Amino acid sequence: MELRGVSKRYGLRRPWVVRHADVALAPGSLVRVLGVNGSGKSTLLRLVAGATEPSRGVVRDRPRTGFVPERFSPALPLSAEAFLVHVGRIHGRGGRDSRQQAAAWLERFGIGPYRAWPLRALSKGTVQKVAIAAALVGDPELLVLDEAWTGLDAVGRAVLDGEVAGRVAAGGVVVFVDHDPRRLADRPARHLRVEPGGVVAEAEAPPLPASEDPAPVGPVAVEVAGFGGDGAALARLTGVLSVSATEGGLEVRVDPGCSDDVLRHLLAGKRAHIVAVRQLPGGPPAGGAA
Amino acid sequence: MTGLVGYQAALLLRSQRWLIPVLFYAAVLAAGSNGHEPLGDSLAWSAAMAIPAVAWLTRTCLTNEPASARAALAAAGGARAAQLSALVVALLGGVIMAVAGSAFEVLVSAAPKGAPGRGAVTAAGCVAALACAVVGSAVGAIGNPPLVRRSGAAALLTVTLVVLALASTASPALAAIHRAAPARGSGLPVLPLLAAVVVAGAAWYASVVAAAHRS
Repeated sequence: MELRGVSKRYGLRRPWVVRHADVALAPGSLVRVLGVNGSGKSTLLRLVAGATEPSRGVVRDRPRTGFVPERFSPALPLSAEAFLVHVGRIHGRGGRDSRQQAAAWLERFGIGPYRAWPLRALSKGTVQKVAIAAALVGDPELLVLDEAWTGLDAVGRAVLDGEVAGRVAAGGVVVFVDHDPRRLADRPARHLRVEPGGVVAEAEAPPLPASEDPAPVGPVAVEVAGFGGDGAALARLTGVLSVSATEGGLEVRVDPGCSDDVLRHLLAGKRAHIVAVRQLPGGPPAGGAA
Repeated sequence: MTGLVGYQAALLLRSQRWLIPVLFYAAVLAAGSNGHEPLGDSLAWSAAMAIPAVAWLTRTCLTNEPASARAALAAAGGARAAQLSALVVALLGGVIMAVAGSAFEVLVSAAPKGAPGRGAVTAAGCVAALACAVVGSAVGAIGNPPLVRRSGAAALLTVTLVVLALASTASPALAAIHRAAPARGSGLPVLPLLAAVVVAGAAWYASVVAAAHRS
């Protein structure tokens, strides 16, 4: 499918939200849409999904579509199952087929026990799962996800990630927005950025934030004077990596996790005088052991 | 389209918001009936009151779906079809309501005065009721979201349009009601019904296009 010269504003006196977008979406592509808040990402997704029509330009050859809008509201007088059955029928499925599909998706998301519950009575995450199931129940060739991961538990994320991968592998198109740059970052994806002002341009993958694990820390070197001997007693302490003689005494290299204990031991000893404590640079230790 | 109509019908029925316009219609029919009105007059009354009742029912259908659910279903079934299905369900409900109102008048009213017989007056009254339901649907489509979003402006515009539909000589609803009244009885008000359908078609088109573009 493709967008040709697509522009969008929500009224004649309203500003343009998307301008002159020319985007062709090849089968089997995963597309991440980037942009700051309010830049028009959601509008671009709505145009791609067919939830709204362009003010100018055309959208051609849109295949069967599933759309998870942002902030899906549960203010519908329907149960989760009834809603999904209606969506199946809207996709042209028969009644029995729609009921089977609805039940299957509710089970996959682990919310089968809630199928008869009114949508209003469900938790936020469960409502989000229903919204995603509604997008998938028609077996779409185009899946458009506007922050669809919000509020999902591990089961929901795993099912959705798996569906995205499976549909892209099967030649479908998945277009998504997510505030977390690590979302699906391990998969090859095309990036489109909506600039403020509505221009849509190809973009590079955003930089991933630093890992939440602390940077690897090297050993702590403690220079000790006046200890006497070769320090064999020190080498037996927990966490001591090496003891070597220096000009003024000994240098003890200690595992950073144990350095406080070793320092305490040294301070408790009457003879030892601690000359210096240095943090050595990190990185994988020589020999490759992690 | 049938899937969308079924979904919209489920939303309307299960929300129970249809009760308010239906009770309004029942109340004005009961208030206007003393059992001694000639049939033609009572059918004209029930047809006229179908305009505000159907406009109100249309408002119910156009405002009872959250924007996010509409967006998801528009992607599945088409943005225009989603809005059209809401209008279709409101009109179907309105036609049922107007026909029921006509049936009520046939049961409780006195025999018509003058030349046209009971059958002819009933038939003309039913066609007038249909024309009024269609005009009520047009009023509801024009005076509600997405064409008019603020509820104050929507109420004001709806009341104005209902008054115009019942008082303006250009109104197909008024023409149909006049034809149905026995004193002027001259056959079925088919032309006014066709005119009402044209007006409603234009109103529906505006509402459907606005739904696809403004949301």
